[in-house]
Amino acid sequence: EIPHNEKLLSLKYESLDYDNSENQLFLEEERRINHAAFRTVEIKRWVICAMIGILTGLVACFIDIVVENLAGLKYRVVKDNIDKFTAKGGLSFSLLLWATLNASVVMVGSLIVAFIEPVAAGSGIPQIKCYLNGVKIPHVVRLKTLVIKVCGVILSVVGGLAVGKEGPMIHSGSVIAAGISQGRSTSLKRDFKIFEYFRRDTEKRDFVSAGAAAGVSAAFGAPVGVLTPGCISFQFFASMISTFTLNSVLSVYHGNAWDLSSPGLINFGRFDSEVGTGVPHLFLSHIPGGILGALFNALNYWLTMFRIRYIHRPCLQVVEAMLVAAVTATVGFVMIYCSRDCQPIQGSSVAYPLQLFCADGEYNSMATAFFNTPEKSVVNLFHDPPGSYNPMTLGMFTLMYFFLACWTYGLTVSAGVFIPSLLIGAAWGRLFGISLSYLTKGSIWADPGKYALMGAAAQLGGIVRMTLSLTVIMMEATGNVTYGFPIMLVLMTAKIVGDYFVEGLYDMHIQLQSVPFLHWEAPVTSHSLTAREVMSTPVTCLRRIERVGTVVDILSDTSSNHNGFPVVESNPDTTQVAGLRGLILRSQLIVLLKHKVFVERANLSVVQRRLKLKDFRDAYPRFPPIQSIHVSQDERECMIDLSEFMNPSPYTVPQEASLPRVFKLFRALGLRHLVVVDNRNEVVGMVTRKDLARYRLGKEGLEELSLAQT
Amino acid sequence: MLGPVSTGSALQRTLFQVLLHGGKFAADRLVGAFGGCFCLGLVCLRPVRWFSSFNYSFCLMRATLSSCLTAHALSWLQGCGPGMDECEPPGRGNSSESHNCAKSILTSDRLQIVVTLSEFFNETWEAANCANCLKNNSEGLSNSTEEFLDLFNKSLTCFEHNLQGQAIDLSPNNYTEVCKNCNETYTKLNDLYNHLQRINRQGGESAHSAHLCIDVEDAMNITRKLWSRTFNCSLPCSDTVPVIAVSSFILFLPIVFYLSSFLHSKQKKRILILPKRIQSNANLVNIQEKYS
Repeated sequence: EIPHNEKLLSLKYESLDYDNSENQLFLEEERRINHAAFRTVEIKRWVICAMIGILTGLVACFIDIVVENLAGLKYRVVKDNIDKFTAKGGLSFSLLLWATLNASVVMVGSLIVAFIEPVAAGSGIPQIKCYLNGVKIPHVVRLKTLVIKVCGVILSVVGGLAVGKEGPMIHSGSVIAAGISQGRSTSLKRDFKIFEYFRRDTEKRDFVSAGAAAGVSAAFGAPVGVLTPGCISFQFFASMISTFTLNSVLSVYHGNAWDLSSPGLINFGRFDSEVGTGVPHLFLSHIPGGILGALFNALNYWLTMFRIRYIHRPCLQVVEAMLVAAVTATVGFVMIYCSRDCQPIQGSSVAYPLQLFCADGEYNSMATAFFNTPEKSVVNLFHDPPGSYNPMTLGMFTLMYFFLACWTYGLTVSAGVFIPSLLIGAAWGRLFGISLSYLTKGSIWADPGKYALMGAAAQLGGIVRMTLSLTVIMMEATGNVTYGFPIMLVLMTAKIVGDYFVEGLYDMHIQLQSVPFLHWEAPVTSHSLTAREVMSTPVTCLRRIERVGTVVDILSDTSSNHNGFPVVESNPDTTQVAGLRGLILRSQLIVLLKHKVFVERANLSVVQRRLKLKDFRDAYPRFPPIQSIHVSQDERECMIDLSEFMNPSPYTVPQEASLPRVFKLFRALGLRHLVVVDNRNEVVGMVTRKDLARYRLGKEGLEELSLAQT
Repeated sequence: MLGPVSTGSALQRTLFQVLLHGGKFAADRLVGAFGGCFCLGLVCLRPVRWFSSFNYSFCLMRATLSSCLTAHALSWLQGCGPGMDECEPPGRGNSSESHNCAKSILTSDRLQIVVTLSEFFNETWEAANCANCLKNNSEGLSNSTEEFLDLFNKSLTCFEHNLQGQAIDLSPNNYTEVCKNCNETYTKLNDLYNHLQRINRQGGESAHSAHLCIDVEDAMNITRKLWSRTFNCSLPCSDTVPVIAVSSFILFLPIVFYLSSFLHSKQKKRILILPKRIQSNANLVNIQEKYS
């Protein structure tokens, strides 16, 4: 027994299986399907993508509208209270009120996540990344998760935490995609009997990637944002529809239909075409971006490690979230209270101006930073004219918000980290621009708003380390292609600088959760390892015609939770070689046992419906556990013939194959089981995801992770 | 074109310049003053008595003009024929001849100064939201505006009254008299202003009507500046101690929480699973080499 560390792999994560089992049933079905049916399948795919886009856009609208209203209500209440008590004295009551409001809202948000669906915690991007990598994260694309996620993100933002609502959109989009593409809801126990062709891991994965892309585009108004593995045209189609839906519904809601000015949950506003005379100096923000990003990740790493080791009970997690909310309110209040920076009220850029101790007609500028939603603050930092911000105010705000955001990420609430990073980066970028123009005595090298944009890009790149997707997203969000090149340079440099210290935030969290994540390539120095060393052995094999009792015992064995069993030739003569004949999955065996497809029963001319592929698809994805299948003593003596149902041509690999070759085969084909055979086609071992994910390129070279029960 | 209208006095100064120069330029096309009004493009102007230091009369001036327009007919298009003797904007008349005549006069020079000026006036009217101060038919000030101006005058008189014998900028102290006596009037004025703002915000949906008319805003700004900056009558800061106490308590709670969970919670331990595989020496050596 050892304390948790990041060099572990958990056994609870299974792989998704993208390999098609081409058994007899599949071949029969293919013979029956005609070409017309294939065309309808294609049309159905596009229809599903459109529906995914529309629903994702609608969910994003819902989140935006509810957050706007609830947050507005909260700010109004707090502002009225502060105004009342400014004259009379007793501002400590306002502080208590604000802290209590925050804590209670976040308490509800944290309760639903911690007790009902823990997988909805965080932004969801690491989970979807793993899902698209092929790891079956339990419950990640269920309807319950979607509901909890949406409610959770609303409550977190209204509760005043230093979070964003854009990251969870990706998770929501994926759940919507996974749900719609199956044409039924297992939670609601309704089967609409459509889209049955798509009830497979492969198809689901394609739709989930389209849903994730639709989520990104709804969040940022960036249709060509994230390019995930899968069919790109579906992703693009779903994204365009999603952003269009969001735009139209929000325009109608705000009263100017056809205005179409809000393509995403956050709009960066219009950036003009002249990138500025100070172009060289715009590139100065990448190095601090990388360093600050690495600092953020390192602090968050220690905090998350502490949380996993010591704060693992749900009630403790809820209490922690409440405390963070209360402290956020307190920090905000203290900073507003101490700030003497007063600005005259101009325009309607401040929704809830707080006068506090300023003269009449002026408002406290620190209050704008804390009473605005983070999205609006980011846009203000990008577009306010030079001179709108006091450097001292901005500096203090950046510092406080950095630590608050770092503390908040990893709590058991649904929340994203994109917007806080953008805000931190925009704040120090703007500060940098202001000090630069101050140092050069007023010859303004570039609009501080543009420095804010570069700073935001650098900080976000330094934290999440996504270069290409982020470049595209930010380029689209600014609405100006000329910003693409500077942003790309900034992001790449920030990534290089940050990678020198510590890895990206999402990758770090994936490692801390001990997920067996496979990268695109095997670790570079691993050619000396062969399949023989990587595989698991001995393997539990089944014979082609096997006793039911043996099958039930093997499936019920709790010490090893195998999901795939090689099928070997069954001859009574044990001296002969038992060669590999096929591969059968646990799910298929369970369906066979459930329908009692035994050899003896076929012999007795009991009128029995022949099993079709549809029966297997109906049971997908939540196959019943073996304990729910009842097999009587007599039935245990029957024999079961696996020839029709097994995969007759599983992928195999000789035992001398090097690790990179095995890795490439496994990863490129999206396999779940890879059988290792010797030169006589006998099964010697099996390679699964856990066996391959063990090897990682660490700081000192190739290292091996250990497996643990979590 | 001018940017957003900032203070009344700057606007007046600019207008006056425009009148002086633009008027001279266009005068040879336009008929001059009649009954105190004179036409400048599509706008009739009548010089209004400028107040001594509070020049807020843009909207009022323009409002007076509509009555100027209806009350006085001007031979605006002299030379275009009989019957064309009203100062009408082109296109409003029902005869196309007047329209064409107006057009030919208005667009006959390179700068199109008349058209430009009239556009400027219209834009400034919109930006200043003058319509907010006036009654619906633009025939005079609305009730709320009258009330506000009344209170404003009262406040000014109160200030003047309490500052008798004292020059404003010279002695920067001892405005306690002013603060005490004029507090009530000022508070009433402030409340009325906030009330007007709130009604205005509720009534209008778009950002277009988010402001009160510029004259009211100017007046309020000037009064507020006087009250807070010059007279220094604003509220002092209070009750620092309870705020510090409450905030330190709240900031202390997480430390307590983390310490107690560190000391009392059972640390989450992981049970290692030994994998079933063939351990070859070559493999072990390979990895161990890297570690040493």
